[in-house]
Amino acid sequence: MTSKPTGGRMARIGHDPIAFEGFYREHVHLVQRFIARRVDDAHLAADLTADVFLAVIDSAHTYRAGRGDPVQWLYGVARNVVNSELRRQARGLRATSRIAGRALTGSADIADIEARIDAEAQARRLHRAMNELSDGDRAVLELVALDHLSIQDVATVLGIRLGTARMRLHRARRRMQRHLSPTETPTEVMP
Amino acid sequence: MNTFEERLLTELKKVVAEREPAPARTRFAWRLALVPAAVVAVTAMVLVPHDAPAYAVQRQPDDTIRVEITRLDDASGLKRSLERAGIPAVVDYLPPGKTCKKPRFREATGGYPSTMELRSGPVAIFTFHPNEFAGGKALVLQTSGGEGVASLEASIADGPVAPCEPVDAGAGR
Repeated sequence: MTSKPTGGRMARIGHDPIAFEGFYREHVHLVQRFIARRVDDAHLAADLTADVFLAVIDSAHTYRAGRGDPVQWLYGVARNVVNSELRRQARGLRATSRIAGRALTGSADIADIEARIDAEAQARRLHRAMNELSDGDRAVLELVALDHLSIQDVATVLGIRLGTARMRLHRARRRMQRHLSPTETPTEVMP
Repeated sequence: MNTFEERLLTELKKVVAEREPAPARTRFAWRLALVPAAVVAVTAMVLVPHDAPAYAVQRQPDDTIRVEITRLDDASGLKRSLERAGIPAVVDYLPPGKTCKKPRFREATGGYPSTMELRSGPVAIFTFHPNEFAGGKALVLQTSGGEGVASLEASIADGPVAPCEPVDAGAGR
């Protein structure tokens, strides 16, 4: 995995607009693809993109180089933001955010977001099907099967041991057999 | 980037600019794992002569206790010195590559900012106030698998601390 921004740069992105801009430009598409694998509403996807980066700004000071690289950390932040929102939605709620992402979109932007969402239809079906799994098993399978992280990266993102991650993946796969293609393997390395 | 991404960047940069600057924090190449919320005040690394004592525990004019660790020697002596200064402590120094199995205690949640100041050099300096340890809390100093004082991890435990069960670092969390 790449680790371009150093720990020092990560510490700055919460209070230095230039440092933040570099991080944002490098990762905005990764974040939007992550969201498109979980959400099928373009306006909500725009809101969540804003929410994920607001969470990045708020929690950049918690980044520790020894616990994973910035992309692994970002996946962890994005997961928390998106999952909390999906849980709120399941209860009919929507959190109000400091920045309403959807208010910043024009029709061309919505078309871009929808194209990204369309491209991830299979991932979202899988994501919905994972509802039957426990939270812990689901977290591992999501990152492997939807986001194509390696099992080592997943362990780092979730802060669990490699052996635990493997065991959860094994269990989740067994339960999800019918939704996963037989050739499903985590080959893609994190960008 | 499309219009949305550019507009969002502009809004986010405003949020960043409005935030207070974070406490000064230098970058450190090696790992000094520090539990942020529970560690009080300042940690500094400074250069000292090679034959310095392994540690020093000093009460300062404002009643805070300054702990300076130059070598991972005499853990039990450091524990006694801390306790004489009013800080219940658990100190475990393990060989490189080993760390104590986690979890071994519940971390105290404190409102303290994680201000850390680190400079290169083989000394870890922590400053604590004895009041922070009221109600059964204890300072836990343990090595996290690395070599030397840079591998020290300082935490404040809320409640009992289990004995250190050495495990391979990396498998310990």
